[in-house]
Amino acid sequence: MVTITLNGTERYVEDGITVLEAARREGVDIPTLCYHEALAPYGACRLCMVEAEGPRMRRVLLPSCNLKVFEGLVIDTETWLVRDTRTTIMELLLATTPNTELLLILSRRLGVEKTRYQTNKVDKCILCGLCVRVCREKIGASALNFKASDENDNVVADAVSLSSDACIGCGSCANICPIGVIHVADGGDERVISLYGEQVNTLRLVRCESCGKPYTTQKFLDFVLSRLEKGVSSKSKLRICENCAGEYYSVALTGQFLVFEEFPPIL
Amino acid sequence: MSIYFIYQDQKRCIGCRACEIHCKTENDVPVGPRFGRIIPVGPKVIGTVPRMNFIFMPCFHCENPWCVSACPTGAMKIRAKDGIVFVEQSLCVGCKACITACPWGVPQWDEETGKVIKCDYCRHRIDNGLLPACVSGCTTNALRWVSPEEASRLKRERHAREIASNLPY
Repeated sequence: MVTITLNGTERYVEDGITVLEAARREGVDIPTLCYHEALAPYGACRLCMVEAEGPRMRRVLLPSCNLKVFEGLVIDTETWLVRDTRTTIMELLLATTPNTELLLILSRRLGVEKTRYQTNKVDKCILCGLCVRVCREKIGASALNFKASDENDNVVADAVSLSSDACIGCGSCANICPIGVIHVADGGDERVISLYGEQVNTLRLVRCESCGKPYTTQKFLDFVLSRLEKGVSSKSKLRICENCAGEYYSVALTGQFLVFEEFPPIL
Repeated sequence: MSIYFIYQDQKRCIGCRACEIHCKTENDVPVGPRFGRIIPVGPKVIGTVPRMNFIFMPCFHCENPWCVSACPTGAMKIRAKDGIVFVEQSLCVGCKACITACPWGVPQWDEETGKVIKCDYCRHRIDNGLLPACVSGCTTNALRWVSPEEASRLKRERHAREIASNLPY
């Protein structure tokens, strides 16, 4: 346990956690956008900036998601500098992506009504990296990567690209994207993944052996099977969709054990 | 395996689905997903009468759950003190690996939050000394909150009674 000063009060917090985690556990709200508990801290959105000061560190602005707590750390989350920084970042985000529900909710919470900057007409990727990180760190497919478009002279990443060979079609990216520029849609026998409104990948769906409806991709099945223990995976090939699984079990249960045509012979 | 077990006396169950409704109300489950399900099987003609069976399917809280092995983020967890398998919502990224892995189709998808939700034996209730919603809401007392040993004993006793009632003497 270490002692930190959070907004003027001394708190004892667990060693090794980040300032953001400590603040949330102590009930202090710090806004975040690119932070996800399951993923490693990234510090892309800069919304979680706090003022930090230590015994051997001068007072600076730092992203709280990436800063580990240490003895004697002083953290302020609501100074004018922090608020001003947050407002500016929020306004810049709003200028990039003006029509996204989640950003509008967040900006209203931070008291930002409108942006001073030139606003895009179409929502653009905010490069929070959630999709890229979840694909790389958790799914292990590394199908998504940052890229720079051709007209970008500085060659700084301004979008995300998808490699269709590596993609397993799990849909985590679409699910985690805060502004919804990635879409996964199942139609007929195919799962289509679109990025910024453009189709980037099509994967064939496997059909359920019980009801015959397409339910998941072969690559995703392989991914799940590879994570299960070896003995388990050889027995089950997970060929039944989640809707049929329960019914399949119930029929097997009643068929075998419950409904007797007549009572079993007693010896 | 969890130290608890929900035993269903299929002879008592009338398929009224009160368990499903109590579960949905208690856990605030959105439209679509269901934690505990009643699956009707039949009708099947036994002798001369048609018979139906209603199988109650909550999560079984397995000893080595495939959902937990499949989860890439560690969001699907086993509670150490009693073996309850639950989802840590903040860690879920919505890859649905658990849904695909579970042989019984137990983990459910919450469209609104984009995360997985599942039966956790109403752990907030049992921690307060109450019964899970499905058990306390069961209209015919078909569901019982027991230990696995107790469930096995109940089943054997019932089977023994059935056999005894058909003996010629």
